[in-house]
Amino acid sequence: MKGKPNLLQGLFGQPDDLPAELKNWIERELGQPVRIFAFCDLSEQFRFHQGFLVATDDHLIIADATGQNGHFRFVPRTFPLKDIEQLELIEGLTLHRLNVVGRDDLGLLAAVFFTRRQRRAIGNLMFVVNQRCKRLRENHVDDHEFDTMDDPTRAYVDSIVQAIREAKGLTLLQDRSIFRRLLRYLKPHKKSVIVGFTFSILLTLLGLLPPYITRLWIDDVLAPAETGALTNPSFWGWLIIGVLVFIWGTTQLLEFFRLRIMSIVGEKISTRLRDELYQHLQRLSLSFYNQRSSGNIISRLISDTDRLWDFVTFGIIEFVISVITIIGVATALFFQDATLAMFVVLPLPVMGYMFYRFSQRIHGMYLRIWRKWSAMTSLLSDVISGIRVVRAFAQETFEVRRFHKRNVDVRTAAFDFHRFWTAFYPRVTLLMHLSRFIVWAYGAPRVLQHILSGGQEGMPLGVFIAFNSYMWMFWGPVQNIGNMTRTFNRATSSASRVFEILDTAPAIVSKRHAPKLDPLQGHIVFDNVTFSYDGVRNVLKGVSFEVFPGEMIGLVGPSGSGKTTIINLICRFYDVSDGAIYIDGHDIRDIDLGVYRKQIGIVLQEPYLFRGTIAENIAYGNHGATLHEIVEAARAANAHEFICGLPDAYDSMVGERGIMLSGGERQRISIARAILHKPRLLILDEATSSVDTETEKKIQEALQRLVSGRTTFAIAHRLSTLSHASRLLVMEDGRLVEQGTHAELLEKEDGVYAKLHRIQAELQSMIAV
Amino acid sequence: MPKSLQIYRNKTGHLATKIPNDHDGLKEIELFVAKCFPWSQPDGFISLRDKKGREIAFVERLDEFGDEQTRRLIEEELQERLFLPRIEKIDALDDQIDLFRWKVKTDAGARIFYTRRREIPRELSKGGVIIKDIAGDRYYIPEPENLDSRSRELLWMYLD
Repeated sequence: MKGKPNLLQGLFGQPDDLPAELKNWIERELGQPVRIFAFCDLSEQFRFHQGFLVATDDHLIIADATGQNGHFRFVPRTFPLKDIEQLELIEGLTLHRLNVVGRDDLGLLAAVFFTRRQRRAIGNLMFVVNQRCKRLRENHVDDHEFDTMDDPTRAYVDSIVQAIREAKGLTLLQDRSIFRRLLRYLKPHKKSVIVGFTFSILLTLLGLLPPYITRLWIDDVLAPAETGALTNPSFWGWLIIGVLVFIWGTTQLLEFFRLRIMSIVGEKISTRLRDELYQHLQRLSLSFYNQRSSGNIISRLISDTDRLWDFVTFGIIEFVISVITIIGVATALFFQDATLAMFVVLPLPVMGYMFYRFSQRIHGMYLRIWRKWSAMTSLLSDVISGIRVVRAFAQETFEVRRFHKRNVDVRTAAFDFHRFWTAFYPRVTLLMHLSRFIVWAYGAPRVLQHILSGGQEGMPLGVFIAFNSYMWMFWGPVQNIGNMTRTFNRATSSASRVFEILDTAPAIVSKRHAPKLDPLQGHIVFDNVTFSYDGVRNVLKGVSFEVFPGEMIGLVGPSGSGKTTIINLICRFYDVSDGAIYIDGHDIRDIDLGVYRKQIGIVLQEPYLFRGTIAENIAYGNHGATLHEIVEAARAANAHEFICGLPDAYDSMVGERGIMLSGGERQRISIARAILHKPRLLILDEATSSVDTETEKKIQEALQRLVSGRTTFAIAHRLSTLSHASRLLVMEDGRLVEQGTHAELLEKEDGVYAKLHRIQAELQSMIAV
Repeated sequence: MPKSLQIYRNKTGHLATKIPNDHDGLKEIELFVAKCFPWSQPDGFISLRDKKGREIAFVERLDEFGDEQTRRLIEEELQERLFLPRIEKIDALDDQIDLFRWKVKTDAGARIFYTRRREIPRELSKGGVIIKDIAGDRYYIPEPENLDSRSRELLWMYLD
């Protein structure tokens, strides 16, 4: 986070780092570096305040601030880790509490308080300290255990900022450099942009001409013609008409080219942005997706890129044009009559401010209507989906009343909205008329004077009329500039969301020249593997096992025991936190990932079918498969028969808005997909848990064909499903507690597996009764 | 049971009580307090649970507990668990396109927090609104209509 030294200070008014004096004090007094720290934003009296919780190798330090107005002094209290039994987190609604529990009879040593905002940082600290305390207790100290830890300041800042990053996108770039980076996308289209820009400027200048020509027509043709001073009035008349026609024609032509060129550039830019984003998204590891909702990512890809194209191609140019127009018109006016020009130009800032306020306020109105509207639509979709329940409980009247209330809310908000904008425009027009009144009040007598004096003094009629035309040319640009802050804000916000993704480095990449395991033998070793998704809680703790080619391994254990994590690690969706995984004797981090993954087949509990035909779905991952192979795979998956029974057979559309398939049918299609894939390593994640017994039998048959001869990992809740497994690994709380064949494990009377088996058997017999 | 229940704070700072164990003795269990209706019925409906979430006692009214210290400790504990800063004044509410940035004064001091644009504040049936920020921290405006006019002016698009 070096790019923004005061990130947290700016965002939350919270320090970005340990105060230097406190850090120095700790390092001087305790002679140890700070390993990890967190901020405590609540006092014992439950008031917002400043406090730090710091851990070194052997000490825990609590430092509360005393003093005020930014002049804090930190009073540290030090606790040796060897006196601490554990740190204990107690969650509340907003307030959280961390108890420092002493060993033996020491009881509660201290407690600190903080809000949810600090939770992640405190959680990290708690985890680290608890591990350390445990090791100290067991006299099992590893002096280097902290050596792999992140930089404490970075870890702390990251943990606080993550919530904002998810919602808003936080690049390290300042607003101005975001803007510059955006402009870089225009570079490949330099020529078009320059042409578009020149045309825009030309257009603006051309737009200034007609009023001036009108003036020439009145003052230099009409007036002299009347007095007979002009010898050839009709020639001059036609010339002026000709020039006007030429200007109008050119204007339309330029406008046509400008719009066309810039729209094309815009489309090209947004296509490029979308492509870049999508390519990058495909490279990012799953941990990135875990931190963000898919809706969030999709909206960055679609609406943010769209906003950006609009801004880059039209927003910027419109802004420039507006500025040029205002300057141009103002200059034209000042040249003709400085005093009158003053009268017209002075109200412009007021007008700009009015438009600015209006745009702020109208967006507030939109938000309000949106809120009401979404309350109504969510009720609607809720009730329509649950209509059977409504009927069953005879709640029709209640629902009608509830809907009516929200409907009325929408109307009220809409009324406010209409009342607001209908009142606004007349007010602006009134201001415009006021300007016009001033021009008339000031100009008309002078025009008269000019005529009466025979052109000696006062204002020529042409100037007056030109003035009137020019005046109207102000309002559009002024309105544009008033709206501009919002447009700029929206664009930088979108850009920072887009760039944030582009700037995220994939956590998992293959090394260059990594060995390609082809064909994969399927020999897998877990060597003391520890893993944590969040860097805090270990979901696997020192798991070791070895699997030989062709074995079928059943993974058993309660939910949350780490079964799926093992599979995620085998696929290398994540990298281990500690220990290592060896595939055919190579560290999984050293092998070519693409070649490896191509040889893995996965059947998930909730099979995902993409939009497309059944045939396309079976061939996903093997795009070159022949129809013959597809049918063979479907046959092996026990899917051929039901597929042929569908009206469109293999050409039936599935996925969103496709035909409805049952869970078992979709499962068999996904098995066919895996069979066609001819994986060397097969993973079955609860493949049969959501289907009835009859279907399960069919799926089991299909799976048997699939499993034979391949290294297989299968997770199942129903232990009976795993009866064919060569070995079972029993997981509990992140540890591998038992392994062996079904029969071996049953022999252990107190064993976890034997217990699980008994419970399931009892359940089965209960259902049978 | 609630009538005779005696609670104390143990050495590690937890609420605890003693219940008979299997061998005619007493064993200490630590208690955790939960309100069943924190928003719709803040007084009463209190559940006391052990570490594993099993209910040890349940009352609809706090005075069902006969012991005064017990009542006091429970109230104290609830106050901590349900700590909820009340917003007294809004200094700024900036629309940052995807987020709102709030700069407020609460009864617990000044605070800056962020809400998602699409996060709709929760209106309580007893009045007032709960605002949840992006970290999940909650803030309470008991009577939005009685805030000072500047605060209300800032709130208008967010609430009504």
